[in-house]
Amino acid sequence: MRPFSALATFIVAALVVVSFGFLRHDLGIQERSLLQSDDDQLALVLNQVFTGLGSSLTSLDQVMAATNDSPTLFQSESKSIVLNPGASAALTRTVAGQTTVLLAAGPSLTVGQALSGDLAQTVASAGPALSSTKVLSIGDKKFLGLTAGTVPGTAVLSLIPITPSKPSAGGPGPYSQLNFSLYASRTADPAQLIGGTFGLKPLPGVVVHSFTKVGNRQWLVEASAKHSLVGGASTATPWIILVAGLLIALMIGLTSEILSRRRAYAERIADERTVELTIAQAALVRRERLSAVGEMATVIGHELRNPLGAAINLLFLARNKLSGHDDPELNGYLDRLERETNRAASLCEDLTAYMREREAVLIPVDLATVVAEVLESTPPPEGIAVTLGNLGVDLHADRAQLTQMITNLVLNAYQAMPEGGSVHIESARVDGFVEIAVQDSGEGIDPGEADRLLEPFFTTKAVGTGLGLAIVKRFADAHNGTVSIENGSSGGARFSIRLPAKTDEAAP
Amino acid sequence: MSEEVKILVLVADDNEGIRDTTAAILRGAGYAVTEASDGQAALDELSQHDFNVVLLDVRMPRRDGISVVETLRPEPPPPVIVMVSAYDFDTELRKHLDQRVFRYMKKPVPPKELIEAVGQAAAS
Repeated sequence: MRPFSALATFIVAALVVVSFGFLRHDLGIQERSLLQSDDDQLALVLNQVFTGLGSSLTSLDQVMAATNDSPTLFQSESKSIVLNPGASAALTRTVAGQTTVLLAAGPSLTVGQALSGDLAQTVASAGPALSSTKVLSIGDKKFLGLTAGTVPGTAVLSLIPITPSKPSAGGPGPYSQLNFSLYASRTADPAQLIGGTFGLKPLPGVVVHSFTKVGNRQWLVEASAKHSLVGGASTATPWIILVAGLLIALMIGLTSEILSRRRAYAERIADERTVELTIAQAALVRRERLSAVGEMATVIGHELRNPLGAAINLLFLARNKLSGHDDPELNGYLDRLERETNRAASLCEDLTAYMREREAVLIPVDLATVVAEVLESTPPPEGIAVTLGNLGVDLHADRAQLTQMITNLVLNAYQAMPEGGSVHIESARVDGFVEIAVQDSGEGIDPGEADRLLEPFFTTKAVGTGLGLAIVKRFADAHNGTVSIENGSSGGARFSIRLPAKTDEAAP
Repeated sequence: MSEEVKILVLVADDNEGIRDTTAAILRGAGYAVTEASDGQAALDELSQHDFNVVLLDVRMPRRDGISVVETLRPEPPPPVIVMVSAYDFDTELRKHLDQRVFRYMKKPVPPKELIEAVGQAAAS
């Protein structure tokens, strides 16, 4: 992935994640705030319930005082303050710090029973408002004592059995979505747990605290939400934003990647085309220049023939004029002049031959005849012997070009042996080609220069134009043939031309 | 000096260097040589004298060597013609001029070959 695409994806993804975190945090605050509000309301409701209960207890206390503590009336009236079947009620009297039960209803309290501990203290100090005890353990049971009274020395007590370890059904009415625990203390002391939806187990999730006043005590109301209070859609929103946002980030990255790849591809294609065009243009310019150079070379090759002809004629005339004089030094100069002039003439000849554009016209050629003609027109100098091997191959070639090629190879062999030697010419059929080889007995060639020897004007000799072998190569190419140069097994260089053999299948 | 009848040779070439050196060589070889600097001048000379041999350059101003050959009438018998050129004589040209040309020579022509060729032409 390209850096730009990766960066774009990363930035969008980071923004999405930050937004997600922010929304979640905000939702958490909202949730907690709603929960706290519900818990506070729950505490308030409980407070009203206890206030109501306190009024009932106080009323009963007054009724009992007005009726001189009628046991029958207490039995019937106390039913309104007994909150559950196992609860007990009592009318108590406190005299000189000793609290005893005057009248009793329910299983846990009996008439005449002396109260002690927290229960006794709470009852002794009971006022018009409801007071409560801590959670009391009597035997293996737990109880909560609630008491109130307006008549001095008496109070009404309700002793309610509780089972805090047993989870209750849930909050009242509107608070059914809450888990809660109610403690008869300000802290979440398990010993003071009155009851709750999870029994003795801690509430799951986020827990908020609220307090309700019961007499001179503060009860802790713990609450957590059963389900999200802010609603499913609100809870889902951050997740929807996260998933959608990350998908968008991915799509942005992919789109950017695809676009940038396309652009890079287009640029690369354009670059390649530009390079191709540049190369093609350069090749065209070069070809045109070469063509112009070739044309010029041809013109020069022809135009130089007139001045060279004049020079050759003048040399001849000068020699005739000097025939009477015997001046070896002057004769030496004239000899050199003649050689150089002839060399210039050969160069013109080779240049025009090299530049001549002509297709090879293939006809059956008798190689032995061509070689004989070549040796007649370019006979070996003194000291060089020419031997012929097998020349009886079937050969189709351009006769003029073949003659020129063999002439050039033979001349090349002569020039390679200024001190004399031997030249052997032979032919053979090799791999579908006819090979014509000219082998000399000179010093041989530097193998590293073998290919360069076929280039125009590359020469290792003092004599020659540097075009002879290039012409051989050019004519061999025109025949779809090849030229190879190597050192012979018995010393000297071996130049061989391979021309495609006429296939027998082609013959009718 | 004996009044030997000399063989008449016309050298037609627009290149002065070639023309006068060729003429000098042929004079040295005993021929009577006239020079012409272009094809039209050669035709003028041919109309006035009976030459035995004509050395005719192919490329010349006013009238080229080929045109000169084409203009010559078969009767009375025209001089023997040796064509000279710095360019190749292609097969088409040789076919076109056919029997009317004795020999084709490519420049530069070695003086010995020149003398030999003119000698053979004169004897033909």
